[in-house]
Amino acid sequence: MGAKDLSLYSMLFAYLLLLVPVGILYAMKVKLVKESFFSILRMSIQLGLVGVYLKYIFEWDNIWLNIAWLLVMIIVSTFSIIDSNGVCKRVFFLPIVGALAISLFFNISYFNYFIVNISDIFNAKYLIPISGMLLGNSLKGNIIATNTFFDYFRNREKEYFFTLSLGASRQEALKPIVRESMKRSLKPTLASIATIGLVSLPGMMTGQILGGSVPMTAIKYQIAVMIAIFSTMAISIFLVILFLKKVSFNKFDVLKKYIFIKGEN
Amino acid sequence: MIQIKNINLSFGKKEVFSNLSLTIKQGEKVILNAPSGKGKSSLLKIIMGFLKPDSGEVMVAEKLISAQNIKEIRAKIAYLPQDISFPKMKVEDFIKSVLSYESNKSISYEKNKVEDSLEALMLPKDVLTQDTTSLSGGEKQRIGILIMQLLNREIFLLDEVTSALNSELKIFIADYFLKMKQTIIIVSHDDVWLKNNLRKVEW
Repeated sequence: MGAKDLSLYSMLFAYLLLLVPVGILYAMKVKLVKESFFSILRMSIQLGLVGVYLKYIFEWDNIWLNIAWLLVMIIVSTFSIIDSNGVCKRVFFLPIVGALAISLFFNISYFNYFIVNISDIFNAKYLIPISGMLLGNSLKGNIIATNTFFDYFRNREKEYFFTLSLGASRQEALKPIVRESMKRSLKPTLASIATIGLVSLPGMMTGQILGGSVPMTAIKYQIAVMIAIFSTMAISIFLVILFLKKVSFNKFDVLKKYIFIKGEN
Repeated sequence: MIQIKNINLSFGKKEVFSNLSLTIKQGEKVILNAPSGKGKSSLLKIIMGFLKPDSGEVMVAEKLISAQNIKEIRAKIAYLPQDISFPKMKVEDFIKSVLSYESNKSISYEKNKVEDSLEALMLPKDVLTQDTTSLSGGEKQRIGILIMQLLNREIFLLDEVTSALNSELKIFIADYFLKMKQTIIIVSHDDVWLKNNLRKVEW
């Protein structure tokens, strides 16, 4: 048994609820009214499409189709990481796709095989939603980590040069930067892990409970998923930074200047 | 010691310098004098291999700078930029961490030697137990000098090292460097440097 389906009327009421916050924004002259409608509209279209797509993915449950869907998610995440840094797509596309793919495939396989204990680890019902959670959270972490890394070179390259001039190898000089990137990207997640249950019931648990699972099952899944999220984040951030270090520097150990692109693009 | 032949540098459309040539002998003290934006700091970066000129040759210690020998060349040079910053830790630990780099492993930390250098630089001994973040600009500069001396560097590239210091310290630091036997290239607007044994290079 699943959650009760929502009728068209239900959805109408859902959208109707928007009138309250939008009314407040309008009255207060906070210029977010248009944006609110736009965001909700965009979300509705995206989810609508995904809904159609997932319906078939679950129906067909074809291994290759499932893996292809994961690759699409990985590629979208990669572009989002690259865009948030304003760096060259050509240089960073493959390294980031590779890093995300390795950490996601390792973690989702481990999760499905050892934790959920299913033999068909590419079963769409487990593979797609759990991967989405692992990747979505890793995306946030990787954006923070790569921003920290590149911002260091945008603003404090002198420090790096000074460290090199003290006799440090590239690896030695980058160590503190890598540490800072990892720390800053993992900290928020650790903080939110520590407050789970006290402040908010996470989406996965809510979904499972609505879907008819007993709370204890939902909680066990939630714990396992949080650990897997942390693991996917840490591994992917580590690999993304490792690969960035490989492709970003010239033979003089200087960050290649052309990787920073100006404006959009 | 340093030979620069016909180097050109521009950032985008802006020409920084063109056909610059300069030869600096061992032990010579040279001050670079050019309007700002004319690439004085860039020239120091080129000598360190941090920046590649668009064309021309740069030789340090008889060797043309290349990816193969850049580590060896950097190991001869002390590069002191304007506002150096150290990672947050005790000064003594920072000095030790620099000596722990693979390429510096042959140099051991000798406390007496460090304390002698501190004295010569007019720094109190207890600066070693202070946190790097609590150091003033002038103290940081002098710790930087101390470390570069521990590393036995033959060439000193000084990028505005005196600009943030008070006048007393300016004079002290300038004298200190001008008395050294190492080759020194100075970028500075301070007239405390203008002494007899200094060569002025203008462009």
